[in-house]
Amino acid sequence: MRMTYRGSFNSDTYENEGSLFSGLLMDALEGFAGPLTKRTKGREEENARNRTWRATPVLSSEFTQDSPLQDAYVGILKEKRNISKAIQSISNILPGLPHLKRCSNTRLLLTTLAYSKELEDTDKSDKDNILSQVELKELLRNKEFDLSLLEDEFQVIKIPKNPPRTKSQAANSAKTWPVNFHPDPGIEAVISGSIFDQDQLDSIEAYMKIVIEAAKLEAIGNDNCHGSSLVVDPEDGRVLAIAASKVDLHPMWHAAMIAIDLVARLQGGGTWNFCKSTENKNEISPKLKSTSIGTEIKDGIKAKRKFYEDTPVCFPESLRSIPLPESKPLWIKAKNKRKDDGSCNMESQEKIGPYLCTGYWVFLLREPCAMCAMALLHSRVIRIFYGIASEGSGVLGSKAILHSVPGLNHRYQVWKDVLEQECQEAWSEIISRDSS
Amino acid sequence: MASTIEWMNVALEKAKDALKAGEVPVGCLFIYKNKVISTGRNTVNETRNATRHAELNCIDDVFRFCQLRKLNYMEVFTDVDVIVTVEPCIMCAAALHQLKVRSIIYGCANDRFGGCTSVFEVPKLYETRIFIEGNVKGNEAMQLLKEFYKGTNPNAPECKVKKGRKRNAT
Ligand SMILES: [Zn+2]
Ligand SMILES: [Zn+2]
Repeated sequence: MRMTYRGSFNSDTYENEGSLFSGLLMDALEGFAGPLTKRTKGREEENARNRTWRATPVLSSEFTQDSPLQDAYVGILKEKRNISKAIQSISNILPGLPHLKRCSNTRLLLTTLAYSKELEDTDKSDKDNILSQVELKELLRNKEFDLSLLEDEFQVIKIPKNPPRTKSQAANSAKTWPVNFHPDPGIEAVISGSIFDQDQLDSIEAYMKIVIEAAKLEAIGNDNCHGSSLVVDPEDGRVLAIAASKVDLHPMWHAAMIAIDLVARLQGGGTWNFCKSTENKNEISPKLKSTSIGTEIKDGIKAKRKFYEDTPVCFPESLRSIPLPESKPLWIKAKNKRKDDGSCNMESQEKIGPYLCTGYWVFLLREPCAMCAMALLHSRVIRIFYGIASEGSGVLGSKAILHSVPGLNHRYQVWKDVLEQECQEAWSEIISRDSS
Repeated sequence: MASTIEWMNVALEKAKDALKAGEVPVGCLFIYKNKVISTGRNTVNETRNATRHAELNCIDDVFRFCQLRKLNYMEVFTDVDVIVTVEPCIMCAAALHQLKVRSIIYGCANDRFGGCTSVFEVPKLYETRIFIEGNVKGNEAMQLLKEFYKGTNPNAPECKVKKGRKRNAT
């Protein structure tokens, strides 16, 4: 059984070059066991809770678009009973395509028209062109394939070039030729939305409401980036930082950039002096007092938050007035699993040194600009939720899908449209305030 | 008037400072009216903030420079030439485009995060056209990076070396 499409989910690929959806892999490493509760009556309950929004996953085209097609030769079997003989002998001569079955009814998939490496021992001088039927027959004859099994004339058909990654792609591919496909439960859960249960959606909604409130209170942005942000640790649901963009005070003070620096403060670092810049206002810089670290080293959560007691840290300080929901875990860790696989995760942290925002979830009013999106990637956040798109400058869906760019060695998962309508209303309010 | 190569030599010295401090060896200069108004290096470990790249540190510096002198920072940045030993990452390239700096001159390509050409083309996102030139003393910059990632840097702090060994052992 061919399982090649799963190849990018092994940890080697993740560590070395990044799989195209390693956020899911991270879930596996974290022992993410799906919804917190075992409620499965999804639809009834959804109606009961009367949610007006649906979180839309922002996925790379690899998951959302159907594979391009390519031409391939197909031989027609004269007699169906010779099928296994024909499959066996063709497989010895020409490798098939891992994602496609070799045979469809009496049709035998021979090879693609495009010249491939396997055919190098044919005397083809001009390599860049297409394998002709005559050449293919000659090759088969030379390799002792019994051509009498097939009708004289080969057919040329269209087959999908790439392996399907999702059920719906597999269904479309199968319209052209039978496929080998094993749905990935992680991907399917993201696509269907079942990855979150109702309690998690309630929490996501509650965090986004804080973000909306923060934006209404303080956000001053520009065309590049605008809005507010919130960082939460999904292990216990604690809000670590809340920020609103303040580009009037500093050109780099986009909401996400501020939040990242506030989290750094929680770990005893940080760069920006938020105090100075707001001297004459009623805000004060988040003043942090270190709790006794020595006794807390055992406790992972506290060790990575030197200033645990001070959460959330806010900038501007007025955001502290926003009431917070009760903290509750956003996912359950499968503890036994963590011991084995978690080590790999720890390793990647060591490479960087500090904890940064590793594993945190980030909520944004609007889609971030390239600077903020990459800053969040450098900081190793694992999930981003935003309300509305930034058509002119956003790179998590609008102008680009940064988290699907090949080569980046950390990725996060992204959802948009969270409390879309409320975010849109807040946005209109801010815009009219800005222009008045 | 110093040449690009001479400026790059200065930036390479800053990168060596970063290496000594156990940070990713990237050095950066911001030049305004033919004077260096800021030099910077990575301070990611020191600040526990993954965004503290040399370029962003220089941007903060120039912003303060403008505040002190009551200059309009938007105008100043449009006359700034950025010399950096490694191709700016996507984040920094975006920041420099938003600030509309005049030029970006870099040493070696950044295969992991490069935002000018290597991994993602940030210039395509913005209307501002910034003059960008790469591969200025690229080999020297690359050599420093290799030293850092090999972990053979004799100046690296003790703990770093240990961690590296532990990792290799597992
Ligand atoms: Zn931004
Ligand atoms: Zn950078």
